[in-house]
Amino acid sequence: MPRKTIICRCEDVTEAEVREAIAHGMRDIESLKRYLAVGTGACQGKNCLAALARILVEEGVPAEDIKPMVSRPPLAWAPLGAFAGESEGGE
Amino acid sequence: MAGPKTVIIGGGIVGLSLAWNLAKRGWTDITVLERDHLNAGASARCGGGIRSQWSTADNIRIMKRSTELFESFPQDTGFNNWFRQGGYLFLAYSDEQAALFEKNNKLQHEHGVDSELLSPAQIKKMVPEIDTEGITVGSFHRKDGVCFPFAMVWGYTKACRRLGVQVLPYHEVTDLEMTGDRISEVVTNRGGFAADLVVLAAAAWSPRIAKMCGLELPNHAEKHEAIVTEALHPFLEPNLIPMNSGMYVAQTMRGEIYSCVGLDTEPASDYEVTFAFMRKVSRLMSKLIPRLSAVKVLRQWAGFYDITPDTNPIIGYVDKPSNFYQYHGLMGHGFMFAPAMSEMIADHLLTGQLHEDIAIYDLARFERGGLEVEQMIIG
Repeated sequence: MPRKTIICRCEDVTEAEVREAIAHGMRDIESLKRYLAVGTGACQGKNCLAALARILVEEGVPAEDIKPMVSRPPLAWAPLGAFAGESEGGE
Repeated sequence: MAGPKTVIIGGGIVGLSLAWNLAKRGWTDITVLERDHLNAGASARCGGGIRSQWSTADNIRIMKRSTELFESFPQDTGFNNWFRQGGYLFLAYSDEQAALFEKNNKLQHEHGVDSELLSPAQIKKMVPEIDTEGITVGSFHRKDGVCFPFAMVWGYTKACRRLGVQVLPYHEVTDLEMTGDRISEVVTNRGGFAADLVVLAAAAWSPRIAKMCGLELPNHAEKHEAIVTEALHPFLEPNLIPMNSGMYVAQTMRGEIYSCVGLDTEPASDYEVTFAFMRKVSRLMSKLIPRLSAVKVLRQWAGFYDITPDTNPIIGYVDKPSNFYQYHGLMGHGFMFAPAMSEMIADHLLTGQLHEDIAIYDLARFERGGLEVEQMIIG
């Protein structure tokens, strides 16, 4: 891959930036996320996860040590108004 | 002065800022132990709010100093902390809340914090998107603001490492080895660390660690949840706190809207989130700023407040172990207090002089009846 390849399209992070962060000691996906903001945008990591894992393996992190970023609600982004509705459930 | 062999337990902003202050002033043998990756605990899960609008004199003074340190952080550490000073705007919905604002403002002015009271019309002018129905008065302070939490942890980590501090993620403390009435070794899942001085800076995990050497702490963890939305063009200058709910709403430098609000006490055994929170915060946000109801939520998560019986932190040495310094119990505002508190605590550890603003926070105070309760804790 050329170094200018975009790994995280939501936050505009390149492959070179990911490798530089790994060189600075960010050797797991949760640390990369907090250092580069990969996975904090609209897709919440659904697009960049596989590429991040592959680069970590290429940089010498054992594949069995790589864990995905924690997935949290909502599953897909949704407007606040959808959750604020007055339908069943209550507080 | 090379200083004692120091082990700090907890790699959040509290432990890291203390390590940096000690290293900057000449201590050469400091290790910070973090049980997870960096930015895993409360420092990374908080809202990043920085404010001097408090109800007790010591909190006002400490936060006035801390705000200066957030301002100078990029120069001090070489790392951009994305601090945006749009002010905090508290909103009162009753005469009692308005009276509290007036009383607090007077006290804040006495300590050099230029907060001001705003009428509903002035509030509407500052943030036209707010529904001002029911608001009696606002309290605003321009120098308050919001900072990017991850950046503070990275910045302190890098600055610490430059000064020779060992910052070690994935080192979970499993035991505290005693020799006589002192801790001689901090044992982790990756080996032991001999220590002359041990600082406990593990927030909500502190009681569990203190128990390893027989010390009982009165703190307990409380789960608080938060959400963040898609990024928007900047429109929300101040951070908002409507006091009828205690909700916090702020737009970060990245453009996202961040919000949190307390639910009825939740057990703090894990980081799981609830639909009850999502519903509550969505309703409150849409009521306060109706236009937000069209904005999309990206993520919901949880973190722990580190609660003490009188809402004040626990700081200082204990009788036994005699080399075990306490630095925790910072409720939900350790992130903003840490830069100034660590400066004062470094003073204490280096010179033996304990600043009067933190001398009141010793563990033994609970036997004397505790302290004045802070009225402005939210979220």
